[in-house]
Amino acid sequence: MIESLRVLNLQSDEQLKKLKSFLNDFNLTLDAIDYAIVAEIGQTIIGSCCKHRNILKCFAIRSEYQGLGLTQKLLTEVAYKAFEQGYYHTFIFSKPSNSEIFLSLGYKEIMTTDEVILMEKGNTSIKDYISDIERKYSLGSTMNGAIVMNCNPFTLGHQYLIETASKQVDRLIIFAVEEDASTFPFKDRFELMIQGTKHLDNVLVLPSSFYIISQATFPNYFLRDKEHAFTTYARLDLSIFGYWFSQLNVKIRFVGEEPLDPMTDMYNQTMMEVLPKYGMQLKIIPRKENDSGVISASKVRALLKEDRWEEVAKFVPKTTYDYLLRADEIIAKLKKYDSQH
Amino acid sequence: MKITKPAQAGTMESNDIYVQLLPAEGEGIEIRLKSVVIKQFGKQIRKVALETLQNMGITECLCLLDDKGALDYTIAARIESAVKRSL
Repeated sequence: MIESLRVLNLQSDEQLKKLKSFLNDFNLTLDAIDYAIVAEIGQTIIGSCCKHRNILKCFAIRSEYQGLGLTQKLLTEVAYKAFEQGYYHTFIFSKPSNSEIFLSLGYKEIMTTDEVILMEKGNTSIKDYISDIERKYSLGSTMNGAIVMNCNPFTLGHQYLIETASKQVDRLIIFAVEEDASTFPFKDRFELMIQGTKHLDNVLVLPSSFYIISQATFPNYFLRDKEHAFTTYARLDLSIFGYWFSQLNVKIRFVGEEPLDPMTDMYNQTMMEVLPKYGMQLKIIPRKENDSGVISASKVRALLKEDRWEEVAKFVPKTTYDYLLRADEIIAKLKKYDSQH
Repeated sequence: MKITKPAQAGTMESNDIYVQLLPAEGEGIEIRLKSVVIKQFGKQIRKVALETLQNMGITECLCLLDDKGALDYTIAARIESAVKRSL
């Protein structure tokens, strides 16, 4: 074959337009990417593979050119790029029909749903991750619960949810959303969760890893577009949670009732549908209220924007309050931009 | 000698092997092999890989191998390239 490989210039609208129209034939949409390589014959694209950080996606090859080794060539280039950038653990998002190809290239399946497959390869894997934490925290013999939380920032509402949930299980694991897409950075949110739960012996706070609501499991949670894509990825994310995290003896996943945010509400609905398949129960805990209504992190951020510190104090524990007093830079940023999270 | 700088060599194409060398977290040389012919040649591939690394004086590294049916000298050559790139 006389095809040539070309790394696209992502600044060029013309090149991106061509790639988009190629992907369109495969019902693929182009979302965030930082690298794209295509195989061409003359001016015509016959295959493509892109990536965003350590996530490979937008992989497609015209049917008449399949089985000629093009996949291997494209994948090698993208794998080299990711490795050069220091990503030694990579993921592939694709259609379930492509699973055989990637299995033969050394990728391992994390989860398959009706519409998407997520695979991984590299110096670690979900199997290693699960068995590591099971061993490290001896989670094997207890009945455990879990909450996935962003806590942007940690409020009395979060604290109440954790206290309530911790009474219903032997051990409660809090997975702190690690993806830095929020106003408050992960490091700070994580620290506040630890401080705010110090008084509870059976609570363990862990980073959420790549496997819960990350760019890998859930790209659209951060993009917030297209309802269909949202439920597709919610189903993937929750199937991963149900299948893999039930191996940590997590029997109940707790969530706060969500009267305010429609996306989170939709996520909770999907949870109800998916988790029971893996023997996991979903418990929805009503929100804690104070005299001005339901406590939520978004209200805290709104109050911070207006410097209403006396009211902030009614929404957050002392640990968070003390932190906020020192968080000038973040609050200045908060005032400048509107963030959804 | 330890591998301190990650390096790669080879491709995922047929009859080749894709080698990734990373600093080891544990001790010694750890080889993780994926191969289309692991049942027939898994042992032999590991042996060639380990010998090549040892001959080059490597004592500690994580070596990830994706084999697509490479012959022994291909395996040795790819590993040698990766080691040299890591120095």
